[in-house]
Amino acid sequence: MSLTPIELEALALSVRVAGLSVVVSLPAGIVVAWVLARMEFRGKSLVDGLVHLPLVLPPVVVGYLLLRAFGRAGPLGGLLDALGMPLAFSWRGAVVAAAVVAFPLMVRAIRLSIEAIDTGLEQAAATLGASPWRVFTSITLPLMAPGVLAGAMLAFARALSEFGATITFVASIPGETRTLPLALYALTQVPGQEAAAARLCLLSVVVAFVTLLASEWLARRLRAKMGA
Amino acid sequence: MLAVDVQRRLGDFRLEARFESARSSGIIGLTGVSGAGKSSLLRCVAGLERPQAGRVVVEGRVLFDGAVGIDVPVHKRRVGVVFQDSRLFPHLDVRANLLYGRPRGQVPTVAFDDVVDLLGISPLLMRRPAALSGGERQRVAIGRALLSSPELLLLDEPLASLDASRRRELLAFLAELPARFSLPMVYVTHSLDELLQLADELVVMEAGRVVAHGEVSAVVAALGVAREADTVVEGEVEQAGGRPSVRVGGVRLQVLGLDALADGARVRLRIPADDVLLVLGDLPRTSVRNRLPATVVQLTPVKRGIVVSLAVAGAAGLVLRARVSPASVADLALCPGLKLTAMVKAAAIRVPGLGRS
Repeated sequence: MSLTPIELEALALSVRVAGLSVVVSLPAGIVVAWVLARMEFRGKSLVDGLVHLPLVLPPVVVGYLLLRAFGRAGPLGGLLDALGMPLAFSWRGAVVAAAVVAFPLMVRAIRLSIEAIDTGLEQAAATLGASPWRVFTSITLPLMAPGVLAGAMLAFARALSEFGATITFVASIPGETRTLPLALYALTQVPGQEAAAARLCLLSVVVAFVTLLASEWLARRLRAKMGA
Repeated sequence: MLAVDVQRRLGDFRLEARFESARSSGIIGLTGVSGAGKSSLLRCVAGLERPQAGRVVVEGRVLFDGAVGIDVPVHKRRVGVVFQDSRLFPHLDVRANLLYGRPRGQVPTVAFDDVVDLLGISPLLMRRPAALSGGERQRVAIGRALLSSPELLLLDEPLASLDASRRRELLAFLAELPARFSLPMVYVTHSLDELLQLADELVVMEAGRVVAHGEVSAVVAALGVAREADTVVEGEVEQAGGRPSVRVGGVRLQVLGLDALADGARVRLRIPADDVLLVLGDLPRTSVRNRLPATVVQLTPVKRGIVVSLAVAGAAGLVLRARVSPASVADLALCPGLKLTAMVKAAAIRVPGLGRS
């Protein structure tokens, strides 16, 4: 059983959009997780709530808010339009939608891994002459690597399954924003496409499963490397 | 040279500790009951805690001065710390742990091979900390701190998490340090035996303050019988006559286990208060080797029994302590001024560091 060009297109787009959304949001995810895990400041619970908002909001709401902000008429949309990289109705917008929706899951996993690090190790590194930046890159970052991996994988999986925010923000344009779930939805709207829909269903299951297995395997290798 | 004066308030606890030491090598023992502020003091010196006021000076470098706002960050202090829980980096092997604090861009004052040889850790270099025993981990932690070329080394109860045999093994390594590396060290412990074996001077803390500081046996003697009833004295080994003994003032004490020590070597002795017998009148024939004519100076009731302080004839300044029951005090009519004989078995006198402690 080989994939049809349409299936292949949806699959490639899905993986590209989900992968890019993780790559783009990972640095911010690490910084936000670190701030939430290690810093005490006024309004911390507000920031915490804001970060978690996409987790509890209906994705359609997220998509609509993105549309209002980044649509052609939106305050940020005009700016991006002028720069020649509009988000609305483009695959870039799909990346943004996926990143926003997956962000809370990513931050949560990374934050937990930072909180699990014994701060005594960082203190020991400082007494050995390591600057705060070197402590972060040589001790904190390697020790939180399993959490970063878990967060990235979780975000990737969530981005793959993203539907509501994407369809609201960037619609369902074949080859541009029609990822696997959107393609499947399109098929369900047309009578007599049950077989094609079933194939896409199966494809989605396989992709999800491969993602899970790969993440498990990577996590195990990383843990072994960390000597834990 | 080390000058510490730190004030820090944390809830009900007040740290107001001050001491100075002119030494630029050797070990300063720091002791006191739990919660006396020893660890907090160390953390202030290392820069891990910030005093509200005071001054910390190490080898002429001002690390903290509350009055003029100097607060050198931890990583620029060059104060090495060996923590109770070793704190090796789990994702690095032993070699990488040892090299982590290697000063960059300057000639290290401590050679890698010297440290590895002294601590006997060359077979461990490729291992991960998770694969090490507790004693091995502490050895690596000590090596790691030394290799960062510190100007001062702080050891915070480095043996506390080890069992007795590992502790003895590591003590032997620690005792070697002052002769091999010329830097001052502050060693925190509860164990009198560890202090007697390692320390060149002693600082005692209580409720956040330094209450005594000076030569080890003098400080222990000044501590008061309620806290430390055992007698601690320093003397010289005499090998002449075939039976090794230790001369303290004009008195010769017979002690076991001195054979390996050179004639004239200085040792510290610990005479347990419970092993000192008091005899009135004629001496019976006994196996006890040490019989010291003495005068009762003072009787002090302690938690368990009564401590009798005795001035030993012929050894100026030697005050021997014996713990007896209240019944014995009544029976012998012990009172200050009474002359008697104190007896101590040679086998009961301990020489911390000789493996019998």
